[in-house]
Amino acid sequence: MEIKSAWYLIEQDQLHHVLSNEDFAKLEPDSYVLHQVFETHRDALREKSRLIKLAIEDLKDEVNKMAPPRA
Amino acid sequence: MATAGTALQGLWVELLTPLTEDLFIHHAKLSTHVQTLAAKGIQGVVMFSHVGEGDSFNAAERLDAVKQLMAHGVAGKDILLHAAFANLTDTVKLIRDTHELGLQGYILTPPPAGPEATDQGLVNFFGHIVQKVGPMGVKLYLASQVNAGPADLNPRVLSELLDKHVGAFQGLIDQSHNASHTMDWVRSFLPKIPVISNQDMNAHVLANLGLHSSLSSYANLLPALMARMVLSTAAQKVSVAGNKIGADDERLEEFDRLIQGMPAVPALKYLMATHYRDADWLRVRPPLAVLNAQTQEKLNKDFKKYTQSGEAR
Repeated sequence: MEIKSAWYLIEQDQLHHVLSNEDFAKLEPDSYVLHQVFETHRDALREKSRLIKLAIEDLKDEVNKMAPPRA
Repeated sequence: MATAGTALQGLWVELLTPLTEDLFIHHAKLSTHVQTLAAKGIQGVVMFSHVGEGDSFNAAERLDAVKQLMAHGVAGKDILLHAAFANLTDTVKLIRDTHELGLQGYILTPPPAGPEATDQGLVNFFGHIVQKVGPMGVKLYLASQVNAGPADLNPRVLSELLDKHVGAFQGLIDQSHNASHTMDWVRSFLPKIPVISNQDMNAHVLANLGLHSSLSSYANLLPALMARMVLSTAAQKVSVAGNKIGADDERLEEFDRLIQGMPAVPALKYLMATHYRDADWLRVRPPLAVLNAQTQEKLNKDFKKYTQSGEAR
């Protein structure tokens, strides 16, 4: 099954990246996790931004769990 | 006459259908999902199967979804469409309306019927469809019902249809949950027509018999694993029953156990929502319902363990 034009949202070294078809093809297999493939660069960037926001929320929750209860 | 050489090959994913807030098809999310699966090596997609909540979508919605997906760059040859309805006219109309889009083929299942349905009635039902759309050269696949009832396809009906309409059907799809039923079809019909299963747990067994084509719902989440199961004939161990077992089989069995006993569509959609971190994927069309909070929590924990213990999807 072919994909004509695509932007790849990947995670590599705990960072999200959006790559073009050309750049994606250069990646070493198993060096990344493919999240989703989008038709436009804008859609891929929007999803990247959403995932980063969620990761920040997760981190906040973790920190709050570790913080000592307020007196 | 159709031969095994013209059969579908590879992994075809029975798509889950993402929904908008008002329970219409979320075309953008569906397209992104399909593009993502394509990048992970699948052969094609199956729209509006049982896991795609096919019975909940009318002919106009199915036609629109196919057109939208194609407008987003998916080729018609990569789409298999469930075209079964409880009535003949909707099936014929949908096939006629999509014919020019060049789809890979159409899946037909017996209509839900009461106790008065007969084998001859079933033969007439499919015969009528062949008569109406056969001359258009479309590829038709005959599929058993998901939950076998008295009016399901049986060997007598299949034999009569295949003899009467030579070359009209490109394959048989066994949707039963019974592996021995699939093997019965393989033994009875394989020389005449390709036999395909949509049961994920049968994929490797059939691959070991040289049948490297499968429809899969688990591939929505595990495309790489399912592709290996369908295409590989490698096996490391042999079970007591003689089935070949490898690490991939064990991973698949683990995944199968996660959702065992749960309604499949809401459970798979819950996992999609977790996988994409997108609650929109949770939605199902009634009468299906989202998993309750307790089940979601359990599945979430188990799925996390599953993904942490194995390779990336």
